[in-house]
Amino acid sequence: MAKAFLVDASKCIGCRGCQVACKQWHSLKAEPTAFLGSYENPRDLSAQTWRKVKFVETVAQDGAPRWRFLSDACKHCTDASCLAVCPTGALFRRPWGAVDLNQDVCNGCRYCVAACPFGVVTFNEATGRANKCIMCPDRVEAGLDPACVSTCPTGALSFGERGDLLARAKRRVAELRQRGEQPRLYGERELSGLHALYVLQEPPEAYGLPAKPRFAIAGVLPGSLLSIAASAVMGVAALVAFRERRVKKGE
Amino acid sequence: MGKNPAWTWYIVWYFFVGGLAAGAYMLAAVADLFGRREDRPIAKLGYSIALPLVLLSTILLTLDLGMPLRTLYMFRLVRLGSPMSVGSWALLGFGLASLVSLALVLRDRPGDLRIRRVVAVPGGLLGFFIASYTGVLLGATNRPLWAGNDWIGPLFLVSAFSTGVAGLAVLAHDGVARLRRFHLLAIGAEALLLVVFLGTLGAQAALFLSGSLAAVFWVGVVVVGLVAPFALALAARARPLEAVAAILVLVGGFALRYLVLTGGQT
Repeated sequence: MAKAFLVDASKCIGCRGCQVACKQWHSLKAEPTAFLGSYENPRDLSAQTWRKVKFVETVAQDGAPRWRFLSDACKHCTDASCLAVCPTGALFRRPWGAVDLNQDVCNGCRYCVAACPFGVVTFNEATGRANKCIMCPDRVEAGLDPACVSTCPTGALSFGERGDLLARAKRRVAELRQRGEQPRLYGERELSGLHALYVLQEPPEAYGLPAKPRFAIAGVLPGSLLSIAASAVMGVAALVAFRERRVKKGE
Repeated sequence: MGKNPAWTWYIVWYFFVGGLAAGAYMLAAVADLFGRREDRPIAKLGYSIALPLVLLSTILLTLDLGMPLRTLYMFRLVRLGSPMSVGSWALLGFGLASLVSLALVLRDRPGDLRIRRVVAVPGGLLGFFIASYTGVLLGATNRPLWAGNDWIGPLFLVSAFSTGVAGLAVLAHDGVARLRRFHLLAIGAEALLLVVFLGTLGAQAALFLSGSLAAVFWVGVVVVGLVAPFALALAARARPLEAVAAILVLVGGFALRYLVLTGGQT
């Protein structure tokens, strides 16, 4: 059965324990950074930061400020663009759902970087290869939760069977709605289902998540057919260019 | 949106050089298959352009990867959903076809033409693929400008033909007057596809029309690459002017690759 993360933004307190646990488990380095005008840091997911907490400041209808948090990482999409375009097979699917990345096979082409609809996959200049959250396969296959989940103090991050988490997410959405909030479930159907489900308190865009993420290779067929049509036209034109003269000479 | 893949100069040059190689080979293949005896020099020249440029293409791609031996990892698997995987295999096949075609045309023994024609069919088809897959590859990303755009492949294909004729025109002793009308058609088709491409970009087209890439677009692609060579080819049949027009087309073809690649990474 497919495993997944459940990220309940309404329970996140922005402690960044997940961010640090991820760095420790995967021996990721600290990176040079600067004050960005918020507690959020670093600015983006990167080769050295596979999970980070986003700090989002919004203003509610009554004018009161709202401080929202979201622990964000790779979504391990079912229609995973990175995996679909990877020419070497370095990116591969674990039977339990994770999109893993084999460093020994990655050759640094950076196609996955351009293809990811979430801006997650990053090129690592130091190693010449791509990096992203791989869902701690070493831990999961030993029966443990991913490092980020095991350190979360509030239950904002959970890990388990996707079906169970989906049911739990829907219950939580109903609960928050009863409290007068406008929660949203993200990841149930996006890209045929993400292996990271999100309970959000704002529209996805407020957290920097695309409302309609696009599968990178969706346009390969029409693009190819148009290219074939253009090839046919130009091929026939070239053929005519060489035959035309033959006819003229024959006259 | 995906992060910036930093496909810079090596890839710009590869897109240009690969397209030029494919264009030259496709014209040589058509000349071998459908042309007459006096078209043989065009075929010979086309194959002579294609092979070194394919080799240069592989060098450029390897330099971009930065880990020479790992270039071979492109050939671990055939992944039909990945334009880069299929493109790598196609480049390998196209390189082999270019090698065999050039070897045969240089040997030129009786009966070699027949073998050349047999090779020209798959080689030419691979040429079509090499000329256009780079555009389809860009469409299969989530970068601004490229994401889901279906017209970059056809645009690059027509440009490959145009630069292919130009390559022949620059190197042929007496020019390629017989391809003059075809070249006019290719330039016209490229202009048409460029307009369609800009139309599909909507508001993003401002980057080319008035934004940071406006100079490359208006001067490099439109004036140098399309308008000037079209006018020259239309007005004059004399050899020196044909060569000038051809050089302009080559510069314009390079500017187009630079424009499209940079456009998705700014």
